[in-house]
Amino acid sequence: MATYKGIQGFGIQNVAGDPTFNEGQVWYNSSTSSFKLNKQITTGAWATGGNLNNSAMRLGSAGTQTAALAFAGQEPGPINHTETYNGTSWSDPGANYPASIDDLTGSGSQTSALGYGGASGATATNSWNGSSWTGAPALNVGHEQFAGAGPSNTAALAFGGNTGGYQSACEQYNGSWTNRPTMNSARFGLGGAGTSTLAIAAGGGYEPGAGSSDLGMQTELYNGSWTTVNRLVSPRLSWSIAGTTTACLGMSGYDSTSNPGATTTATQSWNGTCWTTNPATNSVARKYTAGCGTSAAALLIGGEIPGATNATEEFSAPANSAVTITTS
Amino acid sequence: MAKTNQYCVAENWGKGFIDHNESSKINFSGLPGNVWQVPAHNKDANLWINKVLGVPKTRDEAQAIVDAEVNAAQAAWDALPDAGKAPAVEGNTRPADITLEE
Repeated sequence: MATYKGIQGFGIQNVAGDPTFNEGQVWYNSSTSSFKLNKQITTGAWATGGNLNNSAMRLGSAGTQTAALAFAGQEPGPINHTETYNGTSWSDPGANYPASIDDLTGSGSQTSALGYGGASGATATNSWNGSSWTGAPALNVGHEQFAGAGPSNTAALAFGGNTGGYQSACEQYNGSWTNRPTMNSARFGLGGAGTSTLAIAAGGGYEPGAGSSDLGMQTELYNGSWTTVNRLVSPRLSWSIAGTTTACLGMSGYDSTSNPGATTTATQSWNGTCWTTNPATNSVARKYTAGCGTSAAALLIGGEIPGATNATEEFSAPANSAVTITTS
Repeated sequence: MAKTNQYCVAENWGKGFIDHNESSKINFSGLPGNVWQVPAHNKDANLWINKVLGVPKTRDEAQAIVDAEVNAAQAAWDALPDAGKAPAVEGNTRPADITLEE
């Protein structure tokens, strides 16, 4: 009779419990007298998250899937609400964003965030300390429909936009804004994620006649300057991405950058080298969203479906679990 | 021809309305007017409709609800001043019609 050792070349470990093993590994749990397998039990999937108290599109956000911040936006006129999320429901912290404004960007965490830019070429920056907003040094140039990245209210990167013309401008914040090398292409409605020193920009609309029609699929990485890398699987505009330069998730948005009309539920994943289509699709196609979190635990907030929505969706990456091997 | 989709109206209450397990088994499409499209002849989809107390709709009934929402959004867009349509707010296109599949 064939044995496991004869097939695999090594025996099964005898362990008192279910330690952390790699997917596919087998062990004997002496505590429960059972053979165990570390198996992937779920694929990555979306689920509905808690609804915002106020519908919003073109809003700012920061934080993670279980500790998020959403602020300002449009519904249908500009609004100034601030809401915090605990992974289940949204609450009003009792401190409105200092201006009613849309097309702004946010970055940071739920307890240390920045909101900056916005409609009509706004340059205002506001700092969030977990309970209140205070004014901070303004951007050097106005940005709207742009992207941002950063970990806190002391460090951020702002890039791209659409303020009287499509923008490639990039600014870095460390208490004040400093102009940094421009992006390789001027784009608006792009997705941005990462930190103030390592950021990713993906998709967006571009100046007609500015060059390749692939610009709406373009991805650039920032590490002091911008480098163009592998493009998206398909164009995206007015969408959200979450994560880092090595692992990022792209969510919903327009599925075209030329004469956009249709929105998509398709998800794209970036592994540091290339984008692929993630098999998971979110449930409501939308644009002008906000997004935050990581590639493994992302939060898609609000947007337009048409009309502003208060719905959020949560993406969770595949999970492994120890399962008992039976003879049946 | 056998229908491939079924429709219901259900208000998304937020967390738990669609969970990860349901999402991995069912292809959801949320539409304006709280209309949800899910696969027809699908046990998991039927269970989900029961869970959310979805009110079943024919395709034509669902289409009428979606059309009303889209028409309202289109009328709101049409009423915008020209300056609100382009180019300063590029990408702010007129809401597109949505045609539901049988």
